Amino acid sequence: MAMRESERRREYEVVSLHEIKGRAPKIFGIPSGVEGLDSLFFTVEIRNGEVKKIPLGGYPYLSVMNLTGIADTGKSLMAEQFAVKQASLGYRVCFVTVETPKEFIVQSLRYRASAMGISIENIDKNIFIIDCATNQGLRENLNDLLDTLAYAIREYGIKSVVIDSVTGLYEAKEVMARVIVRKVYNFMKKWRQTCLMVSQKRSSSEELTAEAAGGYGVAHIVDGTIVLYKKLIQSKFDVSTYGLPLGSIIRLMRIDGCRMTGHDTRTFIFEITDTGLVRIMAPLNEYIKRVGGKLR
Amino acid sequence: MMEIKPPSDVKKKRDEMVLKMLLEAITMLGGPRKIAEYRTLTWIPSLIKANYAILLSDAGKTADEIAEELGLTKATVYKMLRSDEKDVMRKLSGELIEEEKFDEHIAGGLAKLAYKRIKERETEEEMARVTETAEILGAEWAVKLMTKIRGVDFPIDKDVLMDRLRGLIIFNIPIEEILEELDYPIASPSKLLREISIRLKKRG
Repeated sequence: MAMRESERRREYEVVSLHEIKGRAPKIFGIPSGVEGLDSLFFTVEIRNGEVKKIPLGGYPYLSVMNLTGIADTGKSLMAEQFAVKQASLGYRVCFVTVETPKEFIVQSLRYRASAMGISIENIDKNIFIIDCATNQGLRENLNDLLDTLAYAIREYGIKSVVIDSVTGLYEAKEVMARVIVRKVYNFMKKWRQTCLMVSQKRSSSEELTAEAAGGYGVAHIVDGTIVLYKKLIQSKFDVSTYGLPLGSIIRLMRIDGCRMTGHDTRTFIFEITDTGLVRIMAPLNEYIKRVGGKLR
Repeated sequence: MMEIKPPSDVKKKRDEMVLKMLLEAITMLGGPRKIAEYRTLTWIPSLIKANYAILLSDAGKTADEIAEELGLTKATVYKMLRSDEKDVMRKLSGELIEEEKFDEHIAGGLAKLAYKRIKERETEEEMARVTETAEILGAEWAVKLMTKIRGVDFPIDKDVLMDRLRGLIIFNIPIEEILEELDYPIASPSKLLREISIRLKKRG
């Protein structure tokens, strides 16, 4: 006997575009808190036959973004800036700390807030912390962590999640990296969260390339990757190219990919200010044209 | 900033809820006397697995993860999670189900219904408790508020609360003004009263 339509659907889970169109999220930006970054994501509109880029104003809503780079490139700063910015706008953020114990993260977030000119009271009630750094059980058992996160989302109305870093969840079991990231990704999608996850890149990975985006194929799972890199000025060529003295550092950033919206594909230089804030400065090519050959 | 700690006994609590759901399902099937009419009870494990599947899904697990944890196929988990409770209740309608017809669809539907009933009952009980306390303390506004939100599910969102409470005035303050100041979702009736009470005190 022919299988009824409703039974077929239950068995095989085939759905038409028409059926799910109502569940598709709207595309808009979630402010990142990083000066100069929000306008690098955009949507495209065709007006009178002309393609027009409309800046998104932040990370794409409900995206899972991977923030990667070698040590001391500003990944955690960007993650904290995002958390502080969202909290200051009245949205609740869950900060999953895997590297730094909660006491230090609180101090760091408060410091970041004051550097951004945001009152501490404003962020205090909107940031929730899950401390995997001191709780080994949470760090090593992903199911327990996701249970706790689900509880936080349900009970406190969390809108975005920051994980610093997801690499800490597969420490000493790198072979599990894709499985773990996939589970985290699926979880964020199911609970409709905008998520920023930090991942650490080995210094041996080729810099600023797709291969460098977190390693272990993590970049293939997430919606987008931002790669941060620092370069030591150590030759005369570097001095003349970047206009910086020997021994100094130039910081570079590139959005390696984003499947949810358009994005600027150029490499940008950025700085970490004295107050510890990441600030995107200019596209690298424009910067070199401007300062090349002259010492800053 | 608040730290969220993992519930230390999450598995134990889930086991307890599964037992409660099993008892609720038995009641829905006609109670122990009706169950005694079965010659064998081969469907009990299916029902227990369906109970776990519903609770794990509620905790944010995907069908894949639930299947792995319960040792079921993904298709079985889907059948449980997508079961239509009304359809199942119609099928049951007081009759004894034949053992071989007690499939994942029926188990899933029963589990969903049992969970819903338990949740509703817990909310009702809490409301009754809170209302009684409010009456004893002479907090008339709390009694009125509880009467207006009877039957809603918790955690509750702003829109639902606005719909239910529109027009209520507490100490000359429209409830809409107070509701604008609260953080959502609100987990339980007692938390709702506590939040409103804090806002009232702030306004003197």
